[in-house]
Amino acid sequence: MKKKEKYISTTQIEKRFSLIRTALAIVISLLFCFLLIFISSKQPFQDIVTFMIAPLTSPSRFCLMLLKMSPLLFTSVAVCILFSANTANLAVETAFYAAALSSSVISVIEGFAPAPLHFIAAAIAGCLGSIIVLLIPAVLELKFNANIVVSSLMLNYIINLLGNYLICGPLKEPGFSKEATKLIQESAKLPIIANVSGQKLHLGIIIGIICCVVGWFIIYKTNFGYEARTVGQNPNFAKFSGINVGKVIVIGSLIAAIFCGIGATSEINGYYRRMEWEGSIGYGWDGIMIAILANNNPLFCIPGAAFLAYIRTSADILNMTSNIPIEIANVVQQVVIIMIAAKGLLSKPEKKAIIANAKKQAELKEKELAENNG
Amino acid sequence: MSIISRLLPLIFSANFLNSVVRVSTPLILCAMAACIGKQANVQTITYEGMMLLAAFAGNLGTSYAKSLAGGIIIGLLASLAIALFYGFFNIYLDTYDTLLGIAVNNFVSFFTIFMLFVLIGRKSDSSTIPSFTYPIVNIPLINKIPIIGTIFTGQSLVTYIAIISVFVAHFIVYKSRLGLRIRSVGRSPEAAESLGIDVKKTKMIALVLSGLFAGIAGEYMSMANVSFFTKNMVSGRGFIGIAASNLALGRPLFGLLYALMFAVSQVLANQLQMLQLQYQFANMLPYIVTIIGLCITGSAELRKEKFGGKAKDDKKKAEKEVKTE
Repeated sequence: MKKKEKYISTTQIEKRFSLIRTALAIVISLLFCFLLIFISSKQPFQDIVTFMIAPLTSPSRFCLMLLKMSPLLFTSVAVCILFSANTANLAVETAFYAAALSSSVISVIEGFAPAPLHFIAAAIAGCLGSIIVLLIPAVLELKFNANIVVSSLMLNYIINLLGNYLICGPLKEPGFSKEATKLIQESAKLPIIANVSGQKLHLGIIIGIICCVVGWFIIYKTNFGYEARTVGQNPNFAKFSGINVGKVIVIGSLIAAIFCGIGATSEINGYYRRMEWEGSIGYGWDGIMIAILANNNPLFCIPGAAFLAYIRTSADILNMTSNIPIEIANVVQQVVIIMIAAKGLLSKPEKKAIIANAKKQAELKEKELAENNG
Repeated sequence: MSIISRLLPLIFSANFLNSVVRVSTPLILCAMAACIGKQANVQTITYEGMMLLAAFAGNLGTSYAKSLAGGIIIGLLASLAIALFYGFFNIYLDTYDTLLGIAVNNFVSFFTIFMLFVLIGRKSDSSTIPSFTYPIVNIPLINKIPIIGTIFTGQSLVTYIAIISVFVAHFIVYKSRLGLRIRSVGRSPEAAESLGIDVKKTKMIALVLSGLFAGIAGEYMSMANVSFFTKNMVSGRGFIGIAASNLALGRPLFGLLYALMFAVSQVLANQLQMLQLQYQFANMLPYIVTIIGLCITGSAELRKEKFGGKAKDDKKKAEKEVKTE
């Protein structure tokens, strides 16, 4: 036991504190959430219980949670790749939307190709859409030094308007009451892997998990990933060590766009009957949050996405069983992001612990030396 | 051609200029907020959130406090709360700015909808409750002059505050002791610290000032020409203000110029809509103008750096020549 105590390293302490910080962040946001429920509910205690355990109370609710989780996996991996090269490209939000639009163009064509090929063709079309959207801010930053945060935010508005035009105009099925495309062909649809009392779980979640593993491999096991992480940690060092920063950023955006493309196609062709989004619906922002929770490690995106889907499902069910608006999930989500991103939280006790540990080690070493000499 | 020939008479009308003044008011105020922030090197995108929360709290504030002044104060306090919250997390707790900004903006966006439902039982707008608006100012002599009269009088009080705010911001940044501190903190925090300036505190003060400007901008949204709050009613004006201050490199007078440019493109978009151009395309105009503007100033900065480097090289060459002689 004593020997173990002796060899606590600084990184171990840092890891321990990052765990404590995450736990603290979740506790604070839950407390905030309880506060909101108390403000808005007539039966707060019952609603808090519902919020805490609702998704686990029936198989169909759990299935609903998995359905909500699957698009989040794709966007969060995409953001992991962008952020590991320190590209704050916020156009992920509409890249996902653009991919859904461009893939639906292929998905609705009757007799385009047999079953798996039709989906693949649609996914490729989706990737093209998201590639264009993600590359614009990246290229503008590289070529013209345009602030990527602001330009990608502006691009989000433009793509949303463009998508709205397409859905209400050229892509709309004439004569159909809602603003939506034609029916997505059966041959382009993803197979259903489970049907739990009305909730049809499609293959998307499995593709998403595969994408997470692939993303992890790209970031941690390939040359490109190493270069990207170097650029992310210190762009000047990367430049001087001969890494082509522009190339890394462009390739990173391409890979992220491909994940967005596959994700959007599986979401639309798995869950929906028609493409009916009149604007982007926030999966990009969610992906950003999960990537931060996961510290840019795609493997941790899986529990991160599950956590977010859990809150969302709870809010959904709460919305049905009580008078609490569904926005509570998003509010709580933002509080979690802020708390987790606050690196300075608990930094003083952490420093103290590290210093105390170092002192202890020094003392132990001195003792050892004295013992050896004696 | 026909569109242009129909558009020209619309542009050169007092009505057009009148709408430019109306549209530009929140943009100018937000640009001033962003200019002060930029001078202190506080790169925040939360002006959007500050404006939205101020619009929400101001409008509902007038209804609950049953007075205009109460609403104004509540709105400003809400905006300040966001500024202080951002400052505390970014400056003292070392949170990554872009991320914090997105989170705060999204938080405000959903929180206002949530509270709207809790307080008045509607999610879309607050038009069912009584509220007060800023008074409309009529300047006695000017309102008799034909074109200038329709542009410069009969506007909301906030519009005049916005015009004054440009000079206030200019004075704060360039003529006051505080401004000197803010600029020195923005340019080189280490040097400022070595002179005994509290960098963190100065940044917080800059944020508080920006928060006030953004708060008034937000109140204009729901307490001037429109007397109710609608969800997400700021819709990117905060970002456009940031873009204007980026283009102006933080100089308030240029900020005014760029804010006016965006206002013109926004009004132009509205006019194009009336000429049966698809409204989606017309509404893209201000955002496209912003992106082009970012590209122009960005590449200008790059060129400056390059020329700066060249000048140094020239100097070195000259020195070498002197030595060889």
